[in-house]
Amino acid sequence: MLPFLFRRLLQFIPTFLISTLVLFFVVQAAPGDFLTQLSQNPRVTPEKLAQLKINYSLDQSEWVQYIRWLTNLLKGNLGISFAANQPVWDLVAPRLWNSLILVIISTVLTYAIGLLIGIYGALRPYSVPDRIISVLAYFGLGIPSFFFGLLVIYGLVVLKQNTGWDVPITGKSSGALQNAGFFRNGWDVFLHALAPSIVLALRSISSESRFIRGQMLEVMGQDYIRTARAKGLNDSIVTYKHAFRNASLPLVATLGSLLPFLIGGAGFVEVVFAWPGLTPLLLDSLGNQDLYVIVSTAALTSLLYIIGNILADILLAAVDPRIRYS
Amino acid sequence: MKKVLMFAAALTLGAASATPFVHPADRTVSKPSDVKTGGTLRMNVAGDFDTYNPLVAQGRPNIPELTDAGGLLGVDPYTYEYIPYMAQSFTQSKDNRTFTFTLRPELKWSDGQAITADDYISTMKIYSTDEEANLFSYFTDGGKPVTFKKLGNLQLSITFPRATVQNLETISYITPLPDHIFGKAFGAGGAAGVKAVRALWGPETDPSKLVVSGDFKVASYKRGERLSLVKNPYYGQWNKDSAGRPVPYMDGIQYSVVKDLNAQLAQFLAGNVDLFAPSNRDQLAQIVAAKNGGKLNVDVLANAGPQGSVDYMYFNFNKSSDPFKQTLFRNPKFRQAMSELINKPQMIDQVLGGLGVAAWTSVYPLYSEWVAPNVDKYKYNVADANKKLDELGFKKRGADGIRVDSKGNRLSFTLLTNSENNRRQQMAQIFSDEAKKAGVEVKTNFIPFNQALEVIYPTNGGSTTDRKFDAAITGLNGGGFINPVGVASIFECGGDLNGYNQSKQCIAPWETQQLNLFYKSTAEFDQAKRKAISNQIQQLQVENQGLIYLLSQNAHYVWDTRVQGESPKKIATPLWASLYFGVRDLDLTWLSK
Repeated sequence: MLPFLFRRLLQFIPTFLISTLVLFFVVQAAPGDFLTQLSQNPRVTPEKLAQLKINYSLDQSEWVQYIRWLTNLLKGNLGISFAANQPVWDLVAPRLWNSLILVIISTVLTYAIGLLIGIYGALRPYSVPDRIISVLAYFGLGIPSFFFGLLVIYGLVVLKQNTGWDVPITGKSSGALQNAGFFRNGWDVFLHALAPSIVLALRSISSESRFIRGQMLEVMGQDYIRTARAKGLNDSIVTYKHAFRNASLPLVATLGSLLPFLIGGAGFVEVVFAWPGLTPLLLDSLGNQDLYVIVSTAALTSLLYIIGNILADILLAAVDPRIRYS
Repeated sequence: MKKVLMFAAALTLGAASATPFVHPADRTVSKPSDVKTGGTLRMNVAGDFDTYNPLVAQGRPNIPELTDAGGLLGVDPYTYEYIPYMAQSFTQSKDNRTFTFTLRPELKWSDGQAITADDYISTMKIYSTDEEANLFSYFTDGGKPVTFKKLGNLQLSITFPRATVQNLETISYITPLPDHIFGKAFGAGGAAGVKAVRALWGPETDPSKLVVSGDFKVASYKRGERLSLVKNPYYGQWNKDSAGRPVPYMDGIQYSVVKDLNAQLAQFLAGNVDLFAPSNRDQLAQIVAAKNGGKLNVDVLANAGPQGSVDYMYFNFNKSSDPFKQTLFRNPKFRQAMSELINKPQMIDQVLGGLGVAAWTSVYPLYSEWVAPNVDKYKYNVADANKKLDELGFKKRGADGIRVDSKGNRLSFTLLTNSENNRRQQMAQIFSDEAKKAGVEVKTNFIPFNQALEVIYPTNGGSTTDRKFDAAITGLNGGGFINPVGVASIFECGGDLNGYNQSKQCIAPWETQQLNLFYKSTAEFDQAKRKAISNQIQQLQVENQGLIYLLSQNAHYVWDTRVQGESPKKIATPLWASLYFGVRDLDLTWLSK
């Protein structure tokens, strides 16, 4: 196991270097830089601009900037955000946590609902409920989540206008709630997170349920299932112990990519619901070419990707006795 | 007994010299007796705030401007005159260059310390040393510095190098910084002083440590979520309503950070936000529909007038690598023809849903009394544009219908604008369609704002005599009512806002004439004469079409009915409206529930 993990970590190094390098140069390739907007400002003299360029190291070649950034990163320093005038980590850390709230709730929803629906569909294939669920799943897969988010917001506004209920619409917390206790605040955040989490989960519920249904149908047709039934095992043991455990293997293998994907994937839903996650920050940073916020966040994401993959490998070994890393 | 009498006498004397600023009754539709105090105003803001430091703050709105009181002077919207605000009184010297102020003795910072002449003096010292400060450029004129002197604890004077009509405006912009914090950090001044004051009040500062002059101060700020402001009780000691009650009436303001405009609208439609400024017909229609359907209790002030902003198109005079285009773009006849291909009524109808007005010169349509006569000389007129293009030598048309001259040059150019702005993109498209009918090929190119700026105003070693674009649409907002014809940086050759000519060299005589007339107008104190000069400038603009002005959008204001105390109709216009709070004086705003 350990040599395997070590090998995976070694593989990660070139991947990490190439991805950050490409990103660094792509961001720099756009005309102008963070200081361009200042040049429009009559009160910033060309001399001052040149001075700021030196302060931000924007006068150096891209290679020098990249290597400087990389060595700082290895020391645990993600750099400075030009726009916020703050260390990138201070800016990103609370956002990362906020994004995780959505990711955790929507992941729980995805697996809780997606698996149930998928198994149900596999046990009663082509029944009327299965067909209805299939149609809904295709709908869920087809609709872009930011658009669905707007529809949900519209629905919430109509609900509020017609009933007067105090439903949270956007944001992370209620302004009216001041100095409330930890649990009251937590409940408030949970209520606010519900709508964006459901919107986020809808797509993955649709895909996961289709996936698990297909897997289950395939496994249920295998010889060993027939053998199990012939032995007289009861239905639930056949379904959950024999069939589901085997059908879920590919699902576990994809779990690893979930971690970085969901943070990136919370994406436009966060913008639409004014959720203070990572995506709105990244969009702003792209807009004003706040270099280090962009590359450092991307570096973090690729780091999460490799961690997620390693976790998935370990999980897979735990679920599937045939897999051993040596 | 004698002691008591003395004490009483002292009290009366004190009362006699007490001179708080009284917000006149004609600034609000509410009677002081109707007003309820308390409550929190709920607002949305599109982005995060960057700092608490007034010297560093860049974005708008920013926290310092939301928490400062204002300047020595304010404006009377009925008379357009500057009136004493933080100053109790002021006098102007005979040569119009020196202004002497006496401060109100009740002025106080949010920590209870008195605001005195020292605060103003150290503020002006900092502003005139810190090159990056908002007001730095206001502290010199023609290379000579503005000087200032402390005359007493509450007295000071400010002397300008030149007598210009904008001097009072400049003074009204100077908001004081607390001497006991900023003055102390600034110390002996110089680069070290600037560095020290710029390092104060960064984003990590505990808000309770901030010292401000304004009606509200920061209670808490959570990045990406919410800024909470609470009433500054010391402000009410020198700000009263017409009945003598302290203002502001409200207890606080809350800003929720909502980036997406649709989500902002949704919050207003759900009744979670008190104020909103619809930016197009679609938003306005949704709000009016909800109001008429009885779903939302709001007041709507639609089409309050054109906004103080404008979009314009211009051709690049600095294109040395392409002599054909450079010569063409520098030819006023060509630009007149292009102006005649701009269908402004169609743009207003299709792009703004009818809610806007055509613009013709550097005077915003908002200042309608200042717009010169006959400015629409080169309005939409395809026949005349065709005639002019024929005269320019583009008589033949190629197989694709595009005009060519005798040397085979096609009449084709690329029109650039920023990709974030749908309005400008749609206008570019409408112009392109119209131009095609006249045999002019206009390709459109939409790129992010930052990148467009770099192309139009090259800084990173780009040449200002060979800029890499043909034509562009950008815009401008802001400016003052004292001399609405504009600011120097639009008229100067190579000026920061001059889109057509970025080289320091003026190319055509009218550019120099226009700039000289502008300087003349700023030194003219007689309004009628100033207006006459402004008309001359506008005539030059119309004939030469350096900037081809397009249109201004109309402003609309909506607010929850619980928000009361808006401005009376006569002054409820974009000219006097607050950028953030709409047609109201925040101090006189109150909440009915």
